[in-house]
Amino acid sequence: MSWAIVDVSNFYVSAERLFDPRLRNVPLIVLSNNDGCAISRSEEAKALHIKMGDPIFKIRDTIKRHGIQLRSSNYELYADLNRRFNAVIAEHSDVVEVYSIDESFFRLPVLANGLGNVRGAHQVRSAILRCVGLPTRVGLGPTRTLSKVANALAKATEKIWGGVVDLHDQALRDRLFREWPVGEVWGVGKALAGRLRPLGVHTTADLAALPLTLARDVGTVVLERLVRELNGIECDDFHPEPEALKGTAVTRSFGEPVTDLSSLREALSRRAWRAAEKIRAQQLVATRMIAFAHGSRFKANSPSASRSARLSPATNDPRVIVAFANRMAEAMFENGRAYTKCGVLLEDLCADGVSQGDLFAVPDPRAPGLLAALDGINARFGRDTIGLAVQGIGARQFDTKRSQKSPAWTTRLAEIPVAL
Amino acid sequence: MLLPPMQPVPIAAVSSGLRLRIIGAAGAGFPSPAQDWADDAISLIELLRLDRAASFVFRISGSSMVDAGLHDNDVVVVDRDVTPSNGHIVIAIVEGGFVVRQLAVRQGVPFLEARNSRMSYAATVADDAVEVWGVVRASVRDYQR
Repeated sequence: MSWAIVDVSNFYVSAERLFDPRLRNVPLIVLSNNDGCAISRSEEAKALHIKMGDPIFKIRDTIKRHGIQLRSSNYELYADLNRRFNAVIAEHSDVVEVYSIDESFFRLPVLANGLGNVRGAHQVRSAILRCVGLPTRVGLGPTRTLSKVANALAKATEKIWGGVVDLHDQALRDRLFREWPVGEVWGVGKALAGRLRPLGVHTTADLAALPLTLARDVGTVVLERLVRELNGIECDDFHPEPEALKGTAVTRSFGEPVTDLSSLREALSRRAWRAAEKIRAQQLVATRMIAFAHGSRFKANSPSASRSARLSPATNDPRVIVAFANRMAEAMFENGRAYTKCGVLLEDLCADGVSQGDLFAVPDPRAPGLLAALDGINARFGRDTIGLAVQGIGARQFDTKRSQKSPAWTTRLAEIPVAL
Repeated sequence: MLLPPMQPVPIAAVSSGLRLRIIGAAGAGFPSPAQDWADDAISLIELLRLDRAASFVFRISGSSMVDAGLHDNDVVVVDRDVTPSNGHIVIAIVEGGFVVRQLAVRQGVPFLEARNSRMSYAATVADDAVEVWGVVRASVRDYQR
């Protein structure tokens, strides 16, 4: 069996274009949370030198001059399309590992000649395009790492090789790796690339040729595994999933500055609620909680405050975590000051049930059933169907700004597309 | 006919993601003889195959397809995993907008045609400038609306 990874080309842009034909063939940018910066760009926008992560206020002139279309991120739509394209992949492969919102690993049988099934990969691509309307690329290789490199090469050579690259062939690897910078390899960040440079490791070929003991010395056992995988030796424990959460953060800017305590309290409570929900989804509990609130970084004398607390016993109960958030908001708030961002961090996470108890606290026996019911209702009827009263109800002016958001085309009956 | 009194719905039933089955009255009396045969509610999701990756939902506006049984405000299930062919009712993109039309192949040329004998609509040749987005597989009408 070989590993394959599929990624959606300019996913958010492609998703927007699926339901709004007027956005096709024009420069289009999808904006991050709070409409802050560019996170997905159409090829036309890339040609206008819009970079990933460009803050909107810096490229306002270019946007105006070239009539670039903007959309806020529509996570309802992207999540639904993600679910759909993974369902299509699952029809072609027993194994589907969702790696990110626009990438998934899957498996395809190796051909009799030992090479990857390029035709099968093209079949998956055309099935995704036909069923879900999204353009994709696929990388194939004997290990996840090689499939990821193949996918990056497929992106770079899409016009020549048609969107699929197979790295089963050693000779082809040797040839391509000589040209491929080591910093482009999955798992090699800027810092690691910097440490490899003095060793003469500049290209992927250099890294693949690195002695294993040296690799371990420079970059721990993770780099050693990466070198093995680049040479086609699969490491079972080399897992693409992000490591089990050490901590989680829910931080967001306000749409408009907040100047009153009740708004700050409400906003912080919402983030605390969401953070608790995130760790519950992974069956984790937190032992430490940090909350912060600050004003604009671009203004002198802006407020900046944070508070932390130990959670004992470790918990993921939103009633406890939101109550702390409330008290922390009160402790941080200063009258007459404007806050632009606040957030909650839950840290020192461990698996629910294995954490240390608290000698002096009696756990609430009703909690597990109540929390399961809460999450069930919110999963079924939409986020924020049930919450605590302190979070407030409905959209608030300090909620994240998504001013140019397209409709939830596929998940809300009132917003489905209309045909004449 | 007298309706049975409302039963409170156990919150755990909602959280488990199972469909609710209310079987007789709880507490006193004989157990319901139907208990062991209780079945899930009929699922329109299944009938309309809404759980498939390629099924999408559109709303019809106007009466271009009224003779084919599609009325203003009807909801249609659109399947992208069907190869459009002669006679299919399709959702297509014409001049930057979605339209619903019937695909008719005449002397080898595919046309998108409206179905409304009282009003005239221009037939569109389904050439490269036209994209067939999906094939209409089912429609749903709420008569109380």
